[in-house]
Amino acid sequence: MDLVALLHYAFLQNALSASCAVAACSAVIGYFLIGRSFTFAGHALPNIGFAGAAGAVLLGVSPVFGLFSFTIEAALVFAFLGTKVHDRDLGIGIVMTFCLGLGLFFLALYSGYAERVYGILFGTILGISDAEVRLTLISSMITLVGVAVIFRPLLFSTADADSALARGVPIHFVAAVFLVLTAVTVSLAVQVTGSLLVFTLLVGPAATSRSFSRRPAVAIGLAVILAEAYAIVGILLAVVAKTIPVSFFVAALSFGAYLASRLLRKGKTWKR
Amino acid sequence: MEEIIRSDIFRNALLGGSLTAILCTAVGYFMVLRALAFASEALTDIGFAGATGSVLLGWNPFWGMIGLSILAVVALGTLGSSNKLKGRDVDVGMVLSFALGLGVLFLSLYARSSASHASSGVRILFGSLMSLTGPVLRLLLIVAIAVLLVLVLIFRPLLFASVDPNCARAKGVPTKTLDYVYLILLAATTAVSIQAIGVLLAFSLISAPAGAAHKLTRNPALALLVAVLLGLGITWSSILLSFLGPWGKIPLGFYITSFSALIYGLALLRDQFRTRIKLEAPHHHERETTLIED
Amino acid sequence: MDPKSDINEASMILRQVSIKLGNRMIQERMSFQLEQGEFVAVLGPNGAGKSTLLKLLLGFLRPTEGEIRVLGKIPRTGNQLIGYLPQFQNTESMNALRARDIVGFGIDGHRWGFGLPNRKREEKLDQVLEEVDALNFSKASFDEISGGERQRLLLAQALISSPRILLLDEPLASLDIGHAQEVITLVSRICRSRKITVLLVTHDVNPLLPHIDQVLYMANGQSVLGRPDDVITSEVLSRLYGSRVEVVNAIGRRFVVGAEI
Repeated sequence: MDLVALLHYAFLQNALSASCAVAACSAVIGYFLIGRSFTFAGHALPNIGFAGAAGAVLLGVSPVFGLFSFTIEAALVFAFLGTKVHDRDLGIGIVMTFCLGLGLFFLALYSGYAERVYGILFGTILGISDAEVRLTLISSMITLVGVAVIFRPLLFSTADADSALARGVPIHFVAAVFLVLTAVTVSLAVQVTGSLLVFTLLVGPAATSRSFSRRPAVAIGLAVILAEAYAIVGILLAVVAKTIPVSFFVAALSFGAYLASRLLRKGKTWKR
Repeated sequence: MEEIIRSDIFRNALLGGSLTAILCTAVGYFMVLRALAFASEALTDIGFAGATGSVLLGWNPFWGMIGLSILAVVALGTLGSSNKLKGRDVDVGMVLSFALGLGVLFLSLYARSSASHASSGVRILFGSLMSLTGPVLRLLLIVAIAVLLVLVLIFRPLLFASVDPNCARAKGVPTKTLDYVYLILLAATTAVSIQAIGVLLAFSLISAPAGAAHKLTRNPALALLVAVLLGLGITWSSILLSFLGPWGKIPLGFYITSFSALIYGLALLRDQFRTRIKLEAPHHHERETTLIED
Repeated sequence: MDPKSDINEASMILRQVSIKLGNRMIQERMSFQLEQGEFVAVLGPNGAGKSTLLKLLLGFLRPTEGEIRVLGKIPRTGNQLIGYLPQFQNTESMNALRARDIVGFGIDGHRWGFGLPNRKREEKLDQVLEEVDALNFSKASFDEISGGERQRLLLAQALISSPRILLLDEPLASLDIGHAQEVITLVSRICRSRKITVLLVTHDVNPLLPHIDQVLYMANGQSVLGRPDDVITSEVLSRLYGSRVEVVNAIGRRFVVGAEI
């Protein structure tokens, strides 16, 4: 298997470039999700997005648009409801499964839907189109720029919301912007990992890197490197394996690294 | 239309659906009481790996799911409340995602092996009325009877332990054992619901009718009854629509999750409305007590 | 009331009981005896082992050494003759049922099966609810009533199995003075009328002084049992704490100065 030769193929180039962009965003966003105890969003948003993606397929449009619309709306609702939402497990679970059911409905109306279901659930990065790659690269750029702009207030309000508020930081606005950026990232990540496994790319890298350093810049940097590694290695392994999707390999790598970091750092306490 | 209603498939669907509904809602009543939504989610995800793994091996998904879930229950230790899990959401989230990842692996291998496997894979995820055949119904019936029998047997101590574990323990209720037993019942219920509504959607039927019932009444026997009735109502309507509805081939799961969300939403609204009225009415049952020293 | 009540048999006996949690010696060779029907306040700083003592009596824990006899037997869980009111825990699940249902657990919450509707059971419930003066909010849920009313209901739950001993773990902690006084008066009345031995863990003994027979003061690995006048004195408490403690008697109250109560 001559990987170098394979790299000439457009599909692989597309997959790699899109994934690298997404991985960077995911790692950064995931770092803050952990800090804000909002990792459940990495579970809820993709499922809600599933309905959007399915609807888009039915309309004959790229799933990414459906994902964007559903997840961004959901993110704004979460922002409006505040952190109380975290405790409403039951309500969130019911809404999530409703969205899965809704997505199922859209797809059932579309013939040949089993393939499509798998596509959204497991990820379709190896089949990503040129247009989608462009969309992904641009969106990722916007997301990273967005995070850079709100970086300091975001960091401050994540570490200590009360002090930040007292200092005049617009914490609610920053929170809303952050959630929208999360929604965008999740939507892009669904292309790589599918809606079932977004969590592994979103939260995994930062969860692992936080074991090694408390300093934000270092933790985020390390998380990005890990995420890129998972994405690239995952894609290459999937190309070799043929029937096994990229998302499985990303999940396996992510979990493996996380487990290793927990075992190596056993006994060292760190802020969750 | 007559023809459809008289067909075996319809009768099986009705029977299977009803059994699933009764089972899910009865177990769901306690799931809501014990605030185990997160644990339920966890069991579903871990069970997913078990279900898809056993299908890959050619077995009925029920066994893989129940087997792995029981292992998970034992490994995770006693989960009297979800709080222990919730405090470590990153840890648990990673484990769950990995379990989902395994499920994705197994399902991919299975689905790619043939076209019929592809669609039966979707059925594991989302359920299907057509899959409620004779042998499946028999398994469903046996599990339903077993779980419901155990539930009736432990009803009072489980209720006591769910509400006031310290007092219950003092009165001799084996609270830790009941914690495990209940989780196993929950795992079995989720596993056997795969056939009708699928792994991903089972949560709806377990949580929504019970959640709504809890908001409608505080009387436990009544709440249980209401939950079961709501569940049956949702299921029957869904089955009818799935067979006779305008779009024909729509899976049962869509109707069930939609009605579930609707019922729960309505119960929430009623609650909000009632709270507003209550805040305006004077507090009338606080009596003035005179303090007389004996 | 209870035809088997042998007033001569001690309610509870502890002989040389030591409690060790991990590496910490909570209580060293504690010995005391209580007679049936006594009302005893349990005092002492946090961590002195007050709640632990209750857990020993309930059979939740075994002592590291020594003997305990409760109503003549070794403590075990499931003893219907002991009523228990644990420390306040605000759980959602308490609010999911009606007050009646929660009090009803005291009758048969530990029995297997479903339990069929039963007129005698309802009557017994009503009787106890009447006794604690909680009948008119028995259909409410816990989040609709006040702290004092809540404690009365939990008391009803403890009483409904006709216990000989009542263990109350900081029942006054989250109550304002008015409600606390309500609860104390009620407990005292029940203690006398039903001849129940009552152990009440608290931080402030003053409201209890008119009602209690003895005080069990636990601190610093030691304990003293005796009448309030004998125990809550500068000498005894200084000895117990191992450092200078002053007890000031003023305006009909006792104030312990120089140590955490």
